[in-house]
Amino acid sequence: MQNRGVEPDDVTYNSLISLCSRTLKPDVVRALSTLREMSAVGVPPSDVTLCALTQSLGRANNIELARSQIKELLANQPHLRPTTSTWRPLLHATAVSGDVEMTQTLFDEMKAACGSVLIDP
Amino acid sequence: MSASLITECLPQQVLFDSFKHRVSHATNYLILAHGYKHGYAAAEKRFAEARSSAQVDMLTYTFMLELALGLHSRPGRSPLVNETGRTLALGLWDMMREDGLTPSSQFCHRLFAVYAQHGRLEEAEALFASMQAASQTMRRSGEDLAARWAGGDLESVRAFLATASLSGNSMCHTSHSYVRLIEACVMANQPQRAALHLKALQEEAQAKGIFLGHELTTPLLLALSRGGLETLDLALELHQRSFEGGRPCAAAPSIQLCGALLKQRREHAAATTLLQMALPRRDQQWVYSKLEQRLAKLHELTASSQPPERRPELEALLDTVCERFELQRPAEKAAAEQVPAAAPAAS
Repeated sequence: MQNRGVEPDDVTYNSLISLCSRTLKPDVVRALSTLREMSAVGVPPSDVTLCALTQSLGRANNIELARSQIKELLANQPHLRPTTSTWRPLLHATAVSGDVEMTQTLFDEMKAACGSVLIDP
Repeated sequence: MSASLITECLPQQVLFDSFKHRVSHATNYLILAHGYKHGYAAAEKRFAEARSSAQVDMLTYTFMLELALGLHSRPGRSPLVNETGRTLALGLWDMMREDGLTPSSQFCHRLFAVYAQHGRLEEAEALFASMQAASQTMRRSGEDLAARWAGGDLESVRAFLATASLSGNSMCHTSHSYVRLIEACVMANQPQRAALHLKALQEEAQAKGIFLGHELTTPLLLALSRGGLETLDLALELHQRSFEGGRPCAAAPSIQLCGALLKQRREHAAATTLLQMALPRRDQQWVYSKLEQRLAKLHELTASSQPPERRPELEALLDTVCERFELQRPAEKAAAEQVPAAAPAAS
């Protein structure tokens, strides 16, 4: 694309980050470097970027890194509006690992970030 | 975007955003976590608590089914579930219906295998029929919604979305539903039923102008080649049809089919399968390794069990297979392996 003069946008980068979660072994390093490249070329991450990133990190069971990335992105990019889809891959990863405490922690974080309006009682 | 277009789009955007995904109940992921950590009974206890306070939804049942089947089957991705797992799964199905919830397609697919292993294939077929009916309803609702949206009557769209069970009606059948049902038929040793559903899939695909691609032929071939003689014929026919349609089947299922045919001493069909499969990439070493194994077996069977008058035809076919994959014939390979051993002695 770039060789032919087509500028990548957030959809391009989101697709690439999402692809990192779909490989046999999730490629966390590439997902993070793609995210850094986005910032470097001046393409701001979107809500979808956040979801794609947590998909990759959740599949790689790298929950702590995912949490720190979410915090960092939300702090540096105030336009981002996380949704429940951002946390779902992480919730599923911790639940399948049988990590009850972390599942609860993630759920509380999701509730705090998304607002209870998105969560039925 | 022009100012008028923005004003035109904004209410639609607001309406769309108001239907964002919601998390129904906080307990779902915790139930799953407890199940994987402490076993099914622990999850069941929390599930019963959630159910008594009416805090269960489709996701709760999906997770409970995952636990019932996953914790009561052999490790890995084996679809074979023990008696306890099957009873629990069917119990969940009954409870879900009591709660008035509509299952998802994936939920139904997993139940097909449970019914098949329980000797109740007809119930799997009945469930599939209700999935087909749900698809028709969904299609009609979708067309109705599209017409309202196109007409710009947003109030009508809102009212329709609030009443019509578009998002709740998720048990529509897909091409994968056919695949899972056919797998269930093979599991229940009902080749005639498998043939019937395979024909229905092909007819529906043809009517919609869809060609069955690898995503369907691969699981179908893998399932059919595990069955008996009759399902093997179905697999062979499907493999040939894909080849003739210009989209040859992938390497893994073709090689498995070839192995199953060899077990039945159908050397000609096995060799033809290798000729009709998709050409693997050069870096797929495991495919070439398997191909060499199948070819060696084919040569061995041709030499030992074929009547002399049939051997030349089959040998010519095997030569074509070797040329296609650029593989050495077993005799050439054996000769080549002897050369390095002989070389030091000669020097």
